Amino acid sequence: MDDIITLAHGSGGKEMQELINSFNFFKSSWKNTFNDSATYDIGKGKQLVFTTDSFTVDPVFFPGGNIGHLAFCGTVNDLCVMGALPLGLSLSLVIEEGFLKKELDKIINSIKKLSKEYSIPIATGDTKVMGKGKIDKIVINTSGVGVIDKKDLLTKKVEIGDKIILSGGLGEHAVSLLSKRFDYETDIVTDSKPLVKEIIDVKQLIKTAKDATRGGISAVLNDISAKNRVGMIIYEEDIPAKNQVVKITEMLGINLYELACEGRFVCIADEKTAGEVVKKLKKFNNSAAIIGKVVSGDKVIVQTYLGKRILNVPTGRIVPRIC
Amino acid sequence: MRNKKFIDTHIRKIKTLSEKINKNITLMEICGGHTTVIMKYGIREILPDNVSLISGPGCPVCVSSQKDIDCVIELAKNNIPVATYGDMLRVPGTRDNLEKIKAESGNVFEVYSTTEVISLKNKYPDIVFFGVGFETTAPMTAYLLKKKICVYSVHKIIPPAMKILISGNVKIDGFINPGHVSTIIGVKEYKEIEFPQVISGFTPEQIIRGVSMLLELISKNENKVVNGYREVVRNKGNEKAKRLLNEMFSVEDSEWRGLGNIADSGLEVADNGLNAKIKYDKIISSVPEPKKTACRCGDVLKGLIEPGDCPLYRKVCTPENPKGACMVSKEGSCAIYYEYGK
Amino acid sequence: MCLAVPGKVIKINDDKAVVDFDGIKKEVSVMLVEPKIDDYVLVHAGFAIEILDKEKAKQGIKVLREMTEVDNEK
Repeated sequence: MDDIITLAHGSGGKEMQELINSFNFFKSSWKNTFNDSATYDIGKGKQLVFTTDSFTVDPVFFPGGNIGHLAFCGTVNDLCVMGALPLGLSLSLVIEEGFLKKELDKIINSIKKLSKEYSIPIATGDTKVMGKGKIDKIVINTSGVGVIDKKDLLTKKVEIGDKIILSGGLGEHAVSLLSKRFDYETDIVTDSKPLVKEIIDVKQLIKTAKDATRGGISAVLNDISAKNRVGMIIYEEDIPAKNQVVKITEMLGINLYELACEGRFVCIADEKTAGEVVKKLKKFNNSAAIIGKVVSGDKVIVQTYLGKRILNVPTGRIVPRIC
Repeated sequence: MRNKKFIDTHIRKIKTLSEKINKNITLMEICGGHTTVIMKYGIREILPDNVSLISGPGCPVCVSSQKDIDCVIELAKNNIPVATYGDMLRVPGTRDNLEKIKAESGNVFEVYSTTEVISLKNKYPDIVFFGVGFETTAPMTAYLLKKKICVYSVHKIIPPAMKILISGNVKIDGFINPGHVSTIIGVKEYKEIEFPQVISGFTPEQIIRGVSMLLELISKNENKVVNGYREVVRNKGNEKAKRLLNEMFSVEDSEWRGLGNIADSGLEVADNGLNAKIKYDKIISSVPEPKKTACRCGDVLKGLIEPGDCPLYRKVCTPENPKGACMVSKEGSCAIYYEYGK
Repeated sequence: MCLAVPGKVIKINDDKAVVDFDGIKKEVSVMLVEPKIDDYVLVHAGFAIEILDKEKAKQGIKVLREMTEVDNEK
């Protein structure tokens, strides 16, 4: 059925992975090309870290944020989880003819505010306008670069016995969008935020990190498990999520673990340092917690208060169920 | 309400009863909602070895026939706007699914509630609602019919399918009846099915209690129905909803993927003027009968074979490209076996 | 099948009602039931399909310990 592109190809799951694998670009000196950011050895033990991301979101404005906020945080976080501090970003806008200037101003102001607060400059950019109906309101692309000492890259080998840590409650970003789309009035706002300060505080104590965006922790944990050839077990009762987030997932019949966050990351730390990592992360979000451990095997297992289940790589896109 | 102690008590009871019955016991949860909870909490693995739970035909999406999907796809391809629940989009027709037609034609709209179809009608006056679901969901389609919206109905009713499942060479010992279908139809209709049945709610506690109640019935050879979800299931069901169903639909034979044609198991739009199958007869009559495949979903659903015994399983039938009902839904027996690597 | 969740009716407006699910508010159709304010209703696909019987719900919790609650509702 893959002769055309469907929404499933952009949902961060199996279909997208297969699509990207099918591109098959030639091999180069760039490393980590299937990671959150790619790296390039620039000598003297330094690595250039480079990433790009395009943002399309419906609605463009949602509780607690907007597409501009996302576009800044998304790229910054992809650099951060490699252990790198962003040097600067590019910002490309593709706007639909007829888009309100005052809405564009709001989006740009969000980016300016974050850029100033985190001292991450917008170094270059581009603006295009497409005809009415040719594009859905606005699409933003940001790219980012950073430089890091090779020894500080957060791509260290994960080992059996290591602890799995989550930096805060799950799914708030996804629920802020879903509540707007399906007309639910909730107290949930997006979790979208730059993870710069969190990473600075814990990067010496952790082995690897991944921000739990599309595909949620299901995608992230399966990715870490596959790359390191280890299994994982997570304890449902220890996984932080706000009541209303859990309730919405029950109402819409969707999987909490597949929901996107835009300001949460999973990291892996040695058993001995894990407690300290959580302590530091709790300063930013009191829900940060150890949610499980690395075990032998090749599957991610969820231990519930009754039995166990396997946590699979997400497939398809998130569709509310009526049945 | 999480109550580990309560569960432990019932698990002990289940163990005692299963030892007393002393043979392999196969219980079928009719409803996909129950299957979801059973999978989510790993309930199968905490039951004794001789008690197995199998998933029934209770995912309305999965049992919709290939022919019906093909017909609705044909409507959309002929520029007739179609609205349906998101659940339906990935269900395979003969060649395509609605998700693909949505991408190609832009004529398919995903809704979460039929109330959204009313607003779509303002923009697309010819909109057809592809109505899917059991007794629980059919009243929402009846509401659209009241509002004069054209419907392609594949609504199905559960008790006739239950009767088919226990006819002939049956391997099922008892049913966990669907809680929310029962909210609409009540308890009475199940009494005609002389078989051990428990109506259950959807918490792990309620399901485990349902299993222990069912074993109790089996151990006593009692072919009756117990209502274990009395807070929302009345003896007579929701009479207002039932009246609405009677008014807007007529009961007819219906084709179930995996089970074949079942007499008096479908709800057809009573008003011919609002029945998309009649209104667009010309388009639909061009859709060929799907070829019979080697899919053995029917036997899997009846508990007669395991998914691995089907010639298509894992070879051509996979969760990304499902052929049969039991692979379509993440909760279908074949999909579950696939995910667990059996 | 048939995902449905209970919530509390906090406002009724003709055949629509605002239902509170643990603090989440959503307007649903109540054309299939006749709830009063403060009733709990079971909601499926945007429609309330039944009013929870509070007594039976409480009873349900009470009899959690008992085993077979055989069909005594005639």
